[in-house]
Amino acid sequence: MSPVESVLFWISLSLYALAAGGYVYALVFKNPTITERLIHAIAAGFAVHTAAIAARYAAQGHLPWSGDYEQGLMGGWFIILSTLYVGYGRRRLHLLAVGTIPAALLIMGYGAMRNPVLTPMAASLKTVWLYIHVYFAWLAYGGYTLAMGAGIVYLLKRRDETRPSPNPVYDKLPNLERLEELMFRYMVFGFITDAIMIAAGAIWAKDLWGSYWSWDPVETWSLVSWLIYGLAIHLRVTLGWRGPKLAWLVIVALSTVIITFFGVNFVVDTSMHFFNVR
Amino acid sequence: MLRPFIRFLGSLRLTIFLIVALGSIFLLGLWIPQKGVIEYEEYLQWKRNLPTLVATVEALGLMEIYRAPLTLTLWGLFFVNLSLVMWQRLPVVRRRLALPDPLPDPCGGGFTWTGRLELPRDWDLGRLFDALRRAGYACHGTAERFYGIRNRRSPAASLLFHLSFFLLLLGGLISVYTRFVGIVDLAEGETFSGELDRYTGKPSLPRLGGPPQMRVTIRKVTPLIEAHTPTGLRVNLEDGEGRLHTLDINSPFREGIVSLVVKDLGLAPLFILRDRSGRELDGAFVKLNILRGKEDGFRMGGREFRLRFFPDHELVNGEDTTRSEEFRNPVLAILTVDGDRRTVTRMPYASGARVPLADGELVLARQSFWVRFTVVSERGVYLVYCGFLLACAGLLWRLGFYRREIAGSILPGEAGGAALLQLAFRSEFYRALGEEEFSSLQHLVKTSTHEERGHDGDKG
Repeated sequence: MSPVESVLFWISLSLYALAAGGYVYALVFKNPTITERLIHAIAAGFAVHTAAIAARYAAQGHLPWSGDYEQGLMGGWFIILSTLYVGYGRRRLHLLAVGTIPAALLIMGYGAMRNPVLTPMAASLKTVWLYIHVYFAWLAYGGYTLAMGAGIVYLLKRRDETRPSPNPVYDKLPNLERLEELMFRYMVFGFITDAIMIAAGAIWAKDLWGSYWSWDPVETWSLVSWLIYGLAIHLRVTLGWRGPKLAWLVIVALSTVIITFFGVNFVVDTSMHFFNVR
Repeated sequence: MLRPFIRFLGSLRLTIFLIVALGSIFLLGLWIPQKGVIEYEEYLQWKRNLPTLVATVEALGLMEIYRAPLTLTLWGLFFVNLSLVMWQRLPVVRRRLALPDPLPDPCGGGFTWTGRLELPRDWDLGRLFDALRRAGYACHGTAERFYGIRNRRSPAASLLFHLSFFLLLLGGLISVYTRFVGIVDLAEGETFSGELDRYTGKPSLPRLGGPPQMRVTIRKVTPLIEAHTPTGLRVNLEDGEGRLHTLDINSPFREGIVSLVVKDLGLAPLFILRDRSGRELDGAFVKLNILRGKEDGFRMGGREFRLRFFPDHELVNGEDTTRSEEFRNPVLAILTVDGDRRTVTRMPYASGARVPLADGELVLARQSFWVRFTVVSERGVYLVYCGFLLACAGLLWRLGFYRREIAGSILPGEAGGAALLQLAFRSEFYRALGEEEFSSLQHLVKTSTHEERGHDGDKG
């Protein structure tokens, strides 16, 4: 990465880390006063993060879409964007960042340790389907991460409500019923955008590999994660799964998304996907 | 006996079991080496190390897990289950699509929220309906009892979503049975008419129909490489009717159901073998797979030549290396085997370059490229795409444009006071959104009926 991008990237990461630390502090020391200020640190980090993406775009002439670093950079950006979007004008939703900021930090940190070199756009990525596929992938993963964030704060708040001296930080959250519905709504949003992502990927694959479905490990995992979220929606709508069961399900289901994105390359070396290919 | 079994086949519990089972099978496919992915040598070694395990895995067909009998059975059950679920839901959906008759009573239960408003004496139903219509509600009924519904047809979308699976199944089956896949390497100037013996390896023939017929000629190949990254592979191709097409990675040639997908690139130089007097002994375009550090060879005039290619050549400690994959200083290192004598000669990759031999020379007369194409011919792809489209549209429609209903009726005021409007509301899926919407609808109704006094809306 270029020096400018490098500086901007690490500043944004530091601001997110600061915010994550602040949430931990607020929860552990039962201090709700700082939580509202932390959203400003996240917003500042997001502005710097956007500048880092712009710097990379200026240096290589295309948006960052490929390789672990670029996936982390853009993925983190979409997750933070989703967090800020849902929190915009809704103070009670700021605390969803308790789940989403660490997730963004993890994928950005992992990406930074991988391959941040600047490269021209590979021939295999020059297609409009890339933008549709990746854009909807990140929207889906943003939705799923928010659902996971809502699931985490749901469980924390629920546990806190049974304690003799409740933590005042949780008063800043919506009530449990609202949180449960948020989990469901973000999951539904992720499920729809995930379906569009899979369809766009299949059409792209037909042009690139000659086959719309090859049972490639990444394809398979993305199908598995889509099926799991589909199952979760069915369980909520038809069998009435609610509360902690649904919260645990959305938290665990996110692991399939993480595996699709980062885990498959650890396990198999035969994927036709281009996360690491140059 | 049969009825409970059919009920079981159409149950949601079976759907859940099947989704979990299929998901588990897919995951298993990532861990168990799959034919077509595992190298043959690796497979043999695995078989030597764990003979019992490999025999079991093979007996169960798990090395082709996506086509294994178990997987196909699960898929079969999945579609049986889906058909029965759709069949069971059909009357429910039809009933929900129809306008309720009689119109629902807002005092009669079945709604999530209720509220009451006082009405002025001169209130106007037309104005109330106009306001509800502006909010997206189709309105029915009279001043005594009315009913507004938004996204009435939304339940049909769940059928569309499930129907999309059948389109995917149908398209997938048609494509599996009509699919032809072959790999062919074509050099610049070469014409290909779909001859089976010209495919590299054995092409996969369709179970229905024959191999694809086509006639194409490769006119020009232009690889584009920047800073180690292949950024394009432009291929100018002429079809059987003399029309020119430009292909690239991601941009295949299509003719009917046949597509030529650009996959890879190689060098195809024209080598000429001459004797000492300069007489031409032999010559041919040779397709070499020597990019990205690979070694390849050919035989000419009874001799064997082994070649390596360095696109941006430099010598480091006497060793041939390349600085990048860009063709900045292309050099061929040629190992000639002449009886027991083995000689390595470097020559620039340029027309006219030559390698001296004991009894003559090898001349690089012309530079040229070959391109590896995957030739695919299959039917049913557009059904698959329609399935995808229908699935996405169905999901968006069902879960994004969910159904909301409002019902109202006039109640007489107490002791001759103002009449009351009883409202009731329900919304699918999203309780909090429904609550917000009902609150704004109550405000809308109040405004449209010119009611300025406070209301006593409450949550039911």
